[in-house]
Amino acid sequence: MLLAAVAVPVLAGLWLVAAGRGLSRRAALDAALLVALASAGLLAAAMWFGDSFDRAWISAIGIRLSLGIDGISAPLLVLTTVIGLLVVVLARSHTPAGGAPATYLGAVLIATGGALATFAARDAVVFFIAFELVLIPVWLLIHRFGDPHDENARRDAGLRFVLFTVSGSVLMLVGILALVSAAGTSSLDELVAAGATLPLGTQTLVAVLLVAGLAVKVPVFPLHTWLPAAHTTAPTGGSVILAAILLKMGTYGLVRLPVASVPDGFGRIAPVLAVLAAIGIVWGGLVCLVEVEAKRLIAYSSVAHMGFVTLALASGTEVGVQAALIGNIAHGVVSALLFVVIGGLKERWGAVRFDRPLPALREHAPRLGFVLILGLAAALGLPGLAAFWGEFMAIYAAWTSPLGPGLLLKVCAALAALGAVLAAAYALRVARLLWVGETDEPAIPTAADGSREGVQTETLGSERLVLTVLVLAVVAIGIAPHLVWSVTAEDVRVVMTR
Amino acid sequence: MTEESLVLHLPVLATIAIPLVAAVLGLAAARRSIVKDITVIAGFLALVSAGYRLWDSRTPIGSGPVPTDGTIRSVTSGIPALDLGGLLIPFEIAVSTRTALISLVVAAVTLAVLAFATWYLRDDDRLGVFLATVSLFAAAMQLVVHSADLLLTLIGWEVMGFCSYLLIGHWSRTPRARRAALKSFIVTRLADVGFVLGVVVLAAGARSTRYADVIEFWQQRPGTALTVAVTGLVIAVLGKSAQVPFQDWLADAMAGPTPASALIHAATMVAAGTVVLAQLAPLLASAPWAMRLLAVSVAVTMVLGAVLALGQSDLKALLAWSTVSQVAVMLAPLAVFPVITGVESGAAAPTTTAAALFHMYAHALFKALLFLTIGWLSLALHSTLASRLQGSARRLLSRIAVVVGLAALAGLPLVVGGWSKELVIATVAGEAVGLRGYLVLVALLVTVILTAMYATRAALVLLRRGPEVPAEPDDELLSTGELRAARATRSALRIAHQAEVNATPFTPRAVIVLLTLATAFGGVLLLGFERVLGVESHVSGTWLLVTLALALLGGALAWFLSGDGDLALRLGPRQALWDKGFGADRAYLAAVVTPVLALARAVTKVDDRVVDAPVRAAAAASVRWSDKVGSAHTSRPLTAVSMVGAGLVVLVAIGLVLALVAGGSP
Repeated sequence: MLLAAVAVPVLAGLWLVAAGRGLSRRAALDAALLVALASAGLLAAAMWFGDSFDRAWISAIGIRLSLGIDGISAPLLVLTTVIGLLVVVLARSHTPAGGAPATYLGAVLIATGGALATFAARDAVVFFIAFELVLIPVWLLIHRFGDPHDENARRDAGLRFVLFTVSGSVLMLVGILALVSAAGTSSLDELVAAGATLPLGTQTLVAVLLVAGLAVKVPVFPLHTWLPAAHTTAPTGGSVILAAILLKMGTYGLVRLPVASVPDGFGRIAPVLAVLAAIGIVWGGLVCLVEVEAKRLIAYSSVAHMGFVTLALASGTEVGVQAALIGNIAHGVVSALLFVVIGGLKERWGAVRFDRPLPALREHAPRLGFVLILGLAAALGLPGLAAFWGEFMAIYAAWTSPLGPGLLLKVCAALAALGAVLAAAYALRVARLLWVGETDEPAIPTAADGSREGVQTETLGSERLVLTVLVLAVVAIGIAPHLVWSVTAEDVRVVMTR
Repeated sequence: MTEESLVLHLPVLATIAIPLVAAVLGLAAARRSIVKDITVIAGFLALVSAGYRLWDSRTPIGSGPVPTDGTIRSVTSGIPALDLGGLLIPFEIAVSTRTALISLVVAAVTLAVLAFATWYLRDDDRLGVFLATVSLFAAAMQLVVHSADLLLTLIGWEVMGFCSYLLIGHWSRTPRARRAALKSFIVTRLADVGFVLGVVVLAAGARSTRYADVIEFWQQRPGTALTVAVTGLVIAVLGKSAQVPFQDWLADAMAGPTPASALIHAATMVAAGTVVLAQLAPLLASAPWAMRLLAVSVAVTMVLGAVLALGQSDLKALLAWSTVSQVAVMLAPLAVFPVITGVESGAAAPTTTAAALFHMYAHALFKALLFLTIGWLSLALHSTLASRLQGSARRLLSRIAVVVGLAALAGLPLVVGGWSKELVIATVAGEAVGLRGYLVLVALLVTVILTAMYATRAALVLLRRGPEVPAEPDDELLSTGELRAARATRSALRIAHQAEVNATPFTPRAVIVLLTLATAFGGVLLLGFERVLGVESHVSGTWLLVTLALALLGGALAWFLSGDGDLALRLGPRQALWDKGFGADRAYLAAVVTPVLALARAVTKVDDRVVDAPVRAAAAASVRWSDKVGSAHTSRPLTAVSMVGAGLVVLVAIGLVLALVAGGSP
């Protein structure tokens, strides 16, 4: 079942990309929805029955095609499935131009399936292959289906995305190979025990390679510059997949590989990572204070939020891993929500730039305005909404971390707390410009070509359903973090207290 | 905790949960008129539930009695505890007679504000959202009051801040409201860094966020870490309570609708810090440096706030600055604890925290009364300027409300404010040790004079008819005909105002009557209050006489200085300085906003030109390279793919070298 849950979207996606051009838009949408639902159903069944899959694959080097679900991966599998489903649903009313709808949906399905495989993989090499599988469809989403107004930007964004992530992947591959050859196993479960016994030098080298490779994907400052470019050009669905799924693969990889497998080596480089994370938090927040393009702004806020997740991991504590896991999920839903709102507006208005007068959503589209202010409140870490738990616990984890020279990690914790003020400042900056409006007479929405007739501001069609689900998720995780933590607690403890 | 105990303290949970549910339902039904019923009825239920809890406080809950001596007992809130490995979050709430009393006051003021707002904002198209936000605000404050867990307190604290952003910015169609909302949130949020770090440090030591665990752990270990943590909490309280140097946001917050101001000033937000510090008093008493900071800040604030209140041209702003000053009075007893060292600890002086909480109770009643009365009087005039409100309190009810409210503000005996202020001063005088104590005491006595002065000023403005034709500055520029027209307009306005006040329906009148009664006789409840607070009667004849004498002196001085008109007009053009809060806003801009924005621009530039430039160059180079290779071939390969190939080769080479080195080293 688990294998099918992963394979169905990938195979169906491949078929849609390869043979789907003839399909009508309607048929492609229905087919994709069916596949996404089937995958979700299979995954739910696999979770319910505790299904796993394990078969010898490349026996010569002892690699097994091994899939399974544990507490650390379960929340991310759910997130990926739900986000994949939402992106397919969103396409019903918002299919980006640039190619056949079937190609777009196929790419979405492959990316979702690949991410599912990444999170379900129980073998380091399988993990890597699945990790790479996601790259190509996402590149396709950015390059082909990106912002139709700017050919050069699309090309540049796609190029940078590939350049960065492939470089990261190669470093990671080398790291994985070094780890596997030193430890003598590629099973993630066995690596937890086997990796920890490696000599410190090897552990450190492996940790450096793995962290450097995965840091690109997270992204950790200063390797973040591909993200704003990719987000700005990607279509709404692509941005959602990037933020809610792709970035999570980076932090998940950090938990699975360096933190779990080579803890001592990771501990040695963790202070560096913590400092970079703290810089990222403040850096992202500062850029958001002056950035004028809405999607770029959210991308930089992602850099800041993922900084919290990285900081939590760099603390090397159990609380830190817990904080990182919930922070991952929270950032997934919050950034998805913001990208659907802003992306939708960008499609309707042509651009959402803060250096021009904008229509006040509170006046013209109260419902969408409510969703926006809720998303912004979540982004600034308001308690009772999803992001708070990850951020607060990240600060706590950094403060209590035993690592690092002197007070270094405590300074990082304080910087992160200041970063939360910057988050408040930029979130309310957006609220002031886009929600309540800056002018006394709120601007009237205009279309991309400057016409004022029939321009829609309020949400359309399936967008409303998608936003409702995301709003509920943001509130639910905020009020009951138990939803995530009760699932992760046991396995995190196993990994962190070996 | 057994299930039984959960049932027994259900009224406590209900006071938090009912407004929360009302907020959610109200938001869902924001555009239907039923939202009024939902929120007001919920406000009433919360009040009943809080009242029941107080009345029933002799019944033991679960395993033990409800503490009446100022300590708290924590019970489960029904939220399952979280154990994150190295940190326990029990999500417990407190039961004690004190929390029950404060909760009752909060519920009462909330209900008054809700009922008043349904009338005051009856023509507002966003009334539903406003009422729902007020309910959420109340739920957050109740959470802070009842919390026995640092994390729950933090949640309530921050949610309250965001609600205040929404309420202050309610009239977001005006630039003033937009700016004020933003400023209030950013200023308080900046101070809240202290709260977050304080909670982190305290919890990091005790490995738990339960108040009892934290207090027990840290009382044994005073030192730098505790000082840092408690100083952080104090900074956050200074921010939320608008104390120096964060004082300026509260005056701007007047841009919000008057019921919102009443709520923020009276029972929530600015008073929340008093509640939190009173409950964590043992920690405060173990951190002398935090107390010193608090003492200096409140001493400066209470005098500054009173001086500013005296000169405001807007009566609502006068009330705002009086809140700043009065909250400082509230916090004063908390700044003068004798330092507790080491293990001898014990409960930190329940009398001292009782004085703070009593003044909070008194202030909540009379400040709600004053705000709602001003809102009532100003509604038809569309202005709260002193010059416009001159003589506007003409009906008997409004005159009584003004007199009682301002008497309480001035601290005259027999009304509620008098009792509490006397208790505060007597407590501070009793505890005062060293420089810190005397600084606060002197500031308090000066504040008594100043408060009586501006209360008298406000009373004279509201009660005494001004000159028949108020001299407006631009009158001189008008021709006779225009002047006649202007006068006619003004008198028409006045008549309309009178009609409006006469036509006020039952609900707002009832609210004002009840608040007036509570303010007038709330002080008599002192005896009952003392049982609730668990302290002995503390009325001291000497200090009563001293405060009364000082207050009368201030009143007489104000009367004398006023002459026929408004005393603040004596300031002449300098009044602008008062209205701007002595330029604190510009100081904020120069000290924080401008540098941060400059830094942000610099960072953005660096991000583009330093961090990103090599990447762009690499991408461009690879494109050029692949184009060249591509032109050599007849079929052009995808640029990106070839570039990937190139990168791959280089990186694999680096990786192999590294791997070889690694293989060789161990």
